[in-house]
Parts: sequence; structure tokens; C-alpha cells
Amino acid sequence: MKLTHLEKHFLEFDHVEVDALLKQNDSDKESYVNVYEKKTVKKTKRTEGKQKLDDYATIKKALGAMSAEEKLALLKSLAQKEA
Amino acid sequence: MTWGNKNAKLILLIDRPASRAYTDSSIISGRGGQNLHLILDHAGISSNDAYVLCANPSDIPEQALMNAKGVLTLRGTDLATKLRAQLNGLDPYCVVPMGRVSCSFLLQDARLDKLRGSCFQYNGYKVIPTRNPFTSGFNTPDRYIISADLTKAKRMAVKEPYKPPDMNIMIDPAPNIVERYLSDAEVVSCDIEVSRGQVFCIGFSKDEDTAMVVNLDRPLPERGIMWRICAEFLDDPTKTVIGQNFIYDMNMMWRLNHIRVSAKIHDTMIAHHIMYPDFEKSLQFLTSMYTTIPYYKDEGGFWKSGVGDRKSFLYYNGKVCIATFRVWEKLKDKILGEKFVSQYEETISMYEPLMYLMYRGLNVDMRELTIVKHKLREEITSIDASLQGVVQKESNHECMELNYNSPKQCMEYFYSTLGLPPYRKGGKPTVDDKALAQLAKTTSSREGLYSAQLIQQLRQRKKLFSTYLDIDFDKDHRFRSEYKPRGTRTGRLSSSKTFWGSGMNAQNVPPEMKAFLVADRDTLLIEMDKRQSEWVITAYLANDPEMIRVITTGVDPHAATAEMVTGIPLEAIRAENKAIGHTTNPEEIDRIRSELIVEELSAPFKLLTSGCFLPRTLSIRQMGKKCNHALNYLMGARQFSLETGMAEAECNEARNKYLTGYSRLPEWWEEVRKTVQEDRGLRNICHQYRAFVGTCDDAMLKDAVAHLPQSVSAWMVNMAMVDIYHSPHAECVAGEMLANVHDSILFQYPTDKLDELARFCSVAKYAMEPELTSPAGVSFRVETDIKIGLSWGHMVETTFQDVGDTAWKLVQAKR
Repeated sequence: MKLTHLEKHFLEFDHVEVDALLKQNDSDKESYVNVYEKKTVKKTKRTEGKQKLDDYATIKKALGAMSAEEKLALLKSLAQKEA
Repeated sequence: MTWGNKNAKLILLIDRPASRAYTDSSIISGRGGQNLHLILDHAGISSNDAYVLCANPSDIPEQALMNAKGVLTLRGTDLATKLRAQLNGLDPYCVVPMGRVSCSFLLQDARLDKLRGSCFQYNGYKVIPTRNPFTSGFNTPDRYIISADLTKAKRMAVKEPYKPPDMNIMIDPAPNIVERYLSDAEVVSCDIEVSRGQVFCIGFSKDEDTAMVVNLDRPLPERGIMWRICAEFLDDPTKTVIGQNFIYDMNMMWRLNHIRVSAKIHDTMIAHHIMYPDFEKSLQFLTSMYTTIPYYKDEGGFWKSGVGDRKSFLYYNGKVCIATFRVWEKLKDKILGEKFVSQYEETISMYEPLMYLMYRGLNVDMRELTIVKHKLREEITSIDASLQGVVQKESNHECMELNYNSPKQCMEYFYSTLGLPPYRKGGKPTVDDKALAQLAKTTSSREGLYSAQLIQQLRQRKKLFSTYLDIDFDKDHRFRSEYKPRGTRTGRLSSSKTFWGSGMNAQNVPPEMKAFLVADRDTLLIEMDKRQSEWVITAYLANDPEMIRVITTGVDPHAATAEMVTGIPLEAIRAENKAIGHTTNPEEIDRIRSELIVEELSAPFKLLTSGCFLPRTLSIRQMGKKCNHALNYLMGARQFSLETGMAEAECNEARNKYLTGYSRLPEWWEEVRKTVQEDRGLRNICHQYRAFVGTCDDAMLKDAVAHLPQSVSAWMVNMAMVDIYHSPHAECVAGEMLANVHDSILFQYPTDKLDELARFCSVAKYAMEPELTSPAGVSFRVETDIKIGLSWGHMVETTFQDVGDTAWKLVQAKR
């Protein structure tokens, strides 16, 4: 009982076999479906809450590029607008 | 409010003051403060070495400072600006934010679980975030982690700015460069990255500073050349390859590209988990504990989700290789030392047999699967029909109907219609599995409700349908799982679905599913199972004379325990077990008992058992079995009652009788407690050591007591697997190993070699029954049972002497 009793290993392959194996890899790659992602997509619905989270992410990204003073000024102006 | 030396160059930033800070006039007071004092003491930091500040001194609620994603609000930003100004005034060398809020204030990133332990140069000082001692500090492993981070911070509290480690990563080299890099490498760390289900790149690192990443996402002839160079290196037994969870890489490379790894293997995850089983074992965690490399895991993740570029993914792979190499450098001396080396090498030796199991898989009979699904649907309909009858009877209402799928209806039925006091979870009434178990058992005020038991059964079957029968199988109609050699702290294997989402945990397969997992064409399945393994080992560890007597006389331990607990003769127990089987309906059980005649004693069962204690919802032997499985491990009467469905008073009685009969058990538990308290660890009779961290409370004692027999049992089966896989006997070449289920191994053997089957089975039996020596110096072996069949769900019990004949008869019957 050995793993190599089930199949030949790579170094035992000739060029034709290597080519066939790698072509098979390419075709598997084309048809690959990530089952975990697929399941997540199924469950996820773009709700208002999700949209808000996305907005937060965008704001966070934009804030990351600003200096502390700029951030403070922006947040203050936003608060004033809201008021 | 502050604590410590204001001029210290190490500043610890806590999220909020302790709840008793103002009454005690200390920023670190109360239980959380006590934890922090302990941690500081452990890290060797005195009040002179550090200055403790509070990021949120007025204790504003966290939601007012930042949202769930860590984005600061206006108040948060204001507070953060003030804090940074205060820090600038103190001119520290190193600041340790201890919690989400302070981490977000300094780094604008609240992902403490990811950033913890990493060092960042910020605003002229170093920042090393760590967990909050006021919340995580109560968990012992976390206390050690915070202490390690503080030790690192103390070391980093020097004027020189932090310089991230130099990493020279060569990406996408030409074939001749790859050959040259690997030609003089003796010990390398290695890691693969997978994208769209295929190996995208493979990285190697031969020292602490350099790595080379071979890009395998390239056109055909070149990719073949690259793979050959890598394959030649990995297949060289004179080389050593270090990996993190390397069995995953090996399995992927074998399944996708048939790359064999013959080089000597070391695994950082295994090494760390053997030495520190209570801690995390991800590379991210190990990197933060053993190296100075800052958090880098995002770099790979971004590419995988479509953000970032290919180059960053290759660099990421190089960083993983360097991190693995550095971690190994820190771990190798300890893991290869006398204390752990045998355990470590035994675990690594399982890689090849486990890869065999993962690659081979089990044949699935798709026709049988359809039949099983159909049968299960019918069973659900039939139990549902019984449930409707039962609820009508229980509620005395002819029109009563109950939808078992609706928790609302179930709650209304039990708590309004029947008027029972509700079982609650988090303050709200519930009909979850625990509540149903409670409702099903008899209490002093009412009879157990059969309807609750039926709802449990229906839910169980529904789960069976969705969890087991609706799973995906591989394209070749085989059931495969991914095994983890250190999936548990006891050394037992764990398994899960494969990378491609097919299969499932192979160690938790219900009998209904086993029915369609069948032998391949012209082969037979053989299952070898350790007979009551943990109970036997416990008997010798505790050196209990009564338990040992049961084993040496060859009596069935479950029946013997049942006899001891109930006082009913063994013959009656056996007859009752045969008649009742696995029935749980109390009325049905009562009817069977009243009609049963014990032929061996020529007496009615009722007469033999008058005045004896009888379990209401299961056979007497089944109760003995439940006692054997639970009571050796300090299970209390309440939990025992929940798990068996027996009344609490019955369980109490059974438990007392069990511990009186096997009287050495409590003394043994006490011995285990003393050893754990004194040595902070246990060594089992196979010389495997396990450390225990934290307070030696009841939970730890239960864990320690269960660990000793479980780890020995797992070791026997795992080592048998390795021995059989590498066996030089000619008979073993034809055999195939298909699954490992903790105490048993499933094999497959060709029917055209039946004359060699008996010999194969005895080689396997010999491997599965090593001689063990108890702490009292008594040698013993744990017997092995054998079953054979054409389907895993329908196996025939046989003996090692008769296995050849039984197999022959089975083959004839099939023809």
C-alpha cells in the first residue's frame, strides 16, 4: 500500500504526460467554481445595511489618505451640516 | 489618572479605566487591574519601567467613539487627536495600545486580532498593539500572549527607530536561477499558494532573509520545466523541507500535479501545537510570537479577492516562506529535544498514510444513496404521523396538530397548551435540543414527554438529510475528506470536507450514510475497531481491581457495569438488550419487558427484576454503556441525565453505584489533579507530554482525566496506521487503507487474494495491539474487533480466525 501504487508521480511522467497533466490543470482552472464563495453569494442580499457598510469602507479609505487636521475639519463640517 | 513612571519610555495605553479606578484611586484596579499586574510581573515590567495611560479616561461608550468596523466618530477623532498630542509630549520610544479603541486611536485600524504583536513605526515611536488585559486577561492563554507582547515592547523601548526585517524576495525567476538557488540548499521552508483551484506559485526560503518564489502561472512548456525542477528538489530524501501545515501543501501538490515529497519534513504548526496545545496555531499567530515580522497576511488575501496584483501575491508567498523559516529556527531546539521529539516525529510520520486516505477516498453507491434518501423521507413521514397521535393524547385534544419545524408552534404546545414552565436560553423560552431533552425526561412532578423525544428524532433526521445526504461528492463518485494530524489536543485526528467543498468529516459518519459508502469492485471492506478502548485503558491507569477483573474475565464491560448498577443478573440484561435494541419509546420498552421471558434462567424478566432500578427510556445494557462512557470522566448526575434522557434521581443512583463499584476511580482523579497542579502537565503511558495552562479547576481536571486514555487510544490507532502503511509484508501491498475513525481503521482488500486476507488481518491486528504498561507496571493490550462487508453500513462481525471463511462466504453470497 503506497501512494505511488495508485498513480505515477510527476518525475515518472514523460513530456507528453506532463503536457496532458498541465493542460488538464488549465481546463480545471477554467471550470473552477469556488464552492465557498458560491454559497456566500447565494446567501448575501444587497440590503440597505450592506450598502451602509460599503459606504463606511469607502469613507474609511478616503479618511485614511487625509491628515489628522483635514479629517477633523471634514468631520466638523459634516456635523454642522447635519445639525 | 495614570500609573507608573511618567518619564518611562514604554507607554501602555489601556482602553478605559477599571470600573473601580476612581474609588480605588488607581487606573488599574479591580479584577482586570489585578490581571494586568500579574501580566506586568510576568513580563518583568515594574512601575518604574512603564507609564500607563488611558485612551478613553471619561469612559465614553465604545459605540460613541467608533463603529463596528473601527471607523472613528467625531468624538472618537477628537479624543484620538488629544491622545496623540499627549503622547508626543511624553516622547516615548514604544507605545502598547491594549485594546480595540486605543489601537484604532493610534493606527486608525481596529483589527486587533490581526495587528496584535506586530511592531509599527508611527509618529516617531514604535507601536505594538496587544489584547485588552481587562477582558482577554481572564483567559489564561491570552494572559501569556499579552505578556509576550509586553516583553517584546520592553525590548523595543529603545531610541533606534523600528526597522522591519530585511527580506530579499526573488519573484518569478528563470529556470536556471531556480536551479542555482536550490542546488546548495539543504534545509528550506516551502509554501504554495493556490488560486482558482490550481497551484499558482511555490516559494522556497533557505535562510532567514531570502526567499525565491517560482511563478507557476505561466505558459505550458516553461511551467513543465519549473515543476520538474521543484519536483526533483522535493523528491530528494537528503533535503529537509519545513512547512506550516505542510500536509495541505503536500496533498494539493499530489492531487493536482502528482508531486511526491520524499524530503525530510518539519512542520511548524505541528511543533507549536505539540508544545503549546492551548494556543492558536496559525502562521499569523506564530509569526507574531516568534518573529519581528509585522502583520502581512492582508497582502495575499487582497489578491485572492481580486484586489491587488499578481506581484504582491508572489511577494506574499515569499514572506510566508521567510516567516516559516524564522519560526522553525525558534522552535526547533525545543521540539527536537528529549521531551517532545518522539511525539513530534510520530505525528510527522502520519503524513504519508494520511495522504493515502485523502487521495483514495471511498466509493459511493449513488443508487443506494437515492434509496437511503427515500427511506429517510418515509421515516420522517412516519415519525411525524406518530408525533401527531402523541400530541393529541398528551393534550387530550383530538384535533391537536404540531409542526415540528416551527419552534413557535412547539413552544406554544409545550408552554401554553400543556402549561409547562418554560426552559429558557438567555432569558427567552426555548425548545432547543437541550430543552427538548429536559422535557423528554421524567421529573418529580411529571412524566417525561414522548412528543419531545419524537421532535428530537425528527430534527435529527432532518439534520441527517441536510448535513450528510445532500453533500457533494467528487467527480469520480468518491467520498473524500481532509485529515488534520493535530486536529485535537489529545492527538486524535480530525477531518473535514475537502478544499473543493466535497465530502465531509469522515469520523462522524452516521450509519445511514455508511450504507452507501461501499467497497470498490472485486474488493471487500474490513473494519478493525479497538474494543472499549478508553474504558480498558482507564481501568489500567486507575488500577481498579474490579474493572480489571471485568476485562480479564472477558465479560462485556457494558453488561457488567449494568449488572453492578442494577443488581440484575447478566443473563436477564443480555436477553433484555436483545429484545429492546435501540428503542427509546418508554411504553414500548415497558411492554417488551412485561412480555419477556429470560430463557437461560427460565423466568419472566419482570419477576427477576422486581424491586430493581430500571431505566425507562433505554435498555439496561445501554445504560451500562452510557455509564462507562460518561462516568469515568467526572460527569455529574445532571449532565448524565441530560445526555441519557434518564431522570436525574436515576442518574444519581447509577452514578453512586458506579463509583462505589469501581472505587479506585475517585482516587485516580485525585492523583491526576495533583500531577497537573504540581507539574502543569501530564505524560501518558506512551510517553507523550501535554502541557496544561491556567487554573486547575474542575473543567481542567475533566480535560486532563479524559486526555490520558483518549490520547493513548488515538496513539495506538495512528501508529498502527503508519506501521501497516509501511509494512514490508507482501500481504499488505494488496490492502488499502480508506478511513481512520479515532478507534478504528477501515481497509479494503481485493477478493481475488482472499487466501492472503487472514495474514493481512493478523499483521494489522499485531500493529493495532501494541503492548502497553500501566503506571503500576502491569502489561496489557487492548483487544481489536473485526468486521467485514461490502458496504460500510452493513458489516458482519467475525473473528481473526474466521475472517477468511467469512469473506469467502460473503463473496459467494454476492455472486
